[in-house]
Amino acid sequence: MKVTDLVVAASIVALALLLSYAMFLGGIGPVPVRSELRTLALNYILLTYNPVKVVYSALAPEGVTAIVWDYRGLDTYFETAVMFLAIISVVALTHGCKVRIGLGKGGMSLIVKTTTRVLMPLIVLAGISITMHGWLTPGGGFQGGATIAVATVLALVTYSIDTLAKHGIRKRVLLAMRSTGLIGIALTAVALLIIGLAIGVNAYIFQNQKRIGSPLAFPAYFSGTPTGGSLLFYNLFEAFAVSAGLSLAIIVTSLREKEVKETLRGEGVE
Amino acid sequence: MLWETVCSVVGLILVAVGAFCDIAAAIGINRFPNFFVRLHAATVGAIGGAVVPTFGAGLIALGSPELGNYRFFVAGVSFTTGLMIMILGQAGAHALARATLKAKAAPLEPCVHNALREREEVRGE
Repeated sequence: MKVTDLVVAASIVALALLLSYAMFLGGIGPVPVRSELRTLALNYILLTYNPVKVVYSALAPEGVTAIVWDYRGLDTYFETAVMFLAIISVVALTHGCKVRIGLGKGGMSLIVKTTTRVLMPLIVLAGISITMHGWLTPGGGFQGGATIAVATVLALVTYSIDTLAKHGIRKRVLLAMRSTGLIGIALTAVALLIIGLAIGVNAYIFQNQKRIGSPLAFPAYFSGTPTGGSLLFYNLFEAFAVSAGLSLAIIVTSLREKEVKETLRGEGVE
Repeated sequence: MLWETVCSVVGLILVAVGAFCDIAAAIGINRFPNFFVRLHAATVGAIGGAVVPTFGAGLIALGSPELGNYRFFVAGVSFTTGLMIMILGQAGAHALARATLKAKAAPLEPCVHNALREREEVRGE
């Protein structure tokens, strides 16, 4: 072991000790100690699933999903749109680069391929499960979609980009899926508003359950199990959009460097 | 209940075996001479040190009646997770070793037996 290694290790330990000592003394500002919840937090906890005060409630037992897609749904919608824009930018940068297939056998050894074949359905199933329990337990559309995208990454690494293209997982298909998901979210957001306009009743954008001045609501229960009303649809479409979007980003970033450079210089052909 | 006690005791034994495997793997990773043998030690940590205690945790959950029906959920998740690590651990170690060997990224010495090279020699590659 070199002396420098020892010095680095000792200085890391010293930094950790000094920081914790300073924190203990209150040297980096007072640490807030609260015995009671803030009013805002208390309201969320009391109202997220509250069949008595439906006009303030999302009727979903999972607080985070309720806040993300109901109480501050508009914010989340724009977050999703920002991610969509980022992916669109990546696709635009590599516009014209075709995924060339049939360049080699590709892929890893038989052992890894077999393992992947066994695991991929399990990963997709886990992703669907996380999505479909999003309004009951921690999780949701983004997490489930990201889990499903892992299956694409696995297939890409173990089998090669050719296999993905052969099974129909192409840039254009994924972009269409991603757009469908986003349109689905937008439609869910204005669904009650459209119904309200059609039948002449008040309604709000991103409305989930009955609100003051609006009797419209998404169905909150399915055979006795809470569905969170619109949260079910948001989660489903979000999973759809995120799984397609992340898969697309991975496929685009795994394009062969030479081909991308050729296309960017204008030498490549569409 | 007898079977609950048996489950708990077997589960605790498995957790203890896992702890031993983890310590052995840690020593192996530090002391073994080259990448490939260290990878073996890492796999001991993954299979013996993760799969075995995860199964043990499932058995302990089955032997804990105070958890009510939730013990079956805990046990089911433990067994599934254990099984998945068992499938993934070996595939990951194999992929790492194969890639390192093909790319000649790590020295092979000291080498006791190299079955791949022998097979290539037999094939005349």
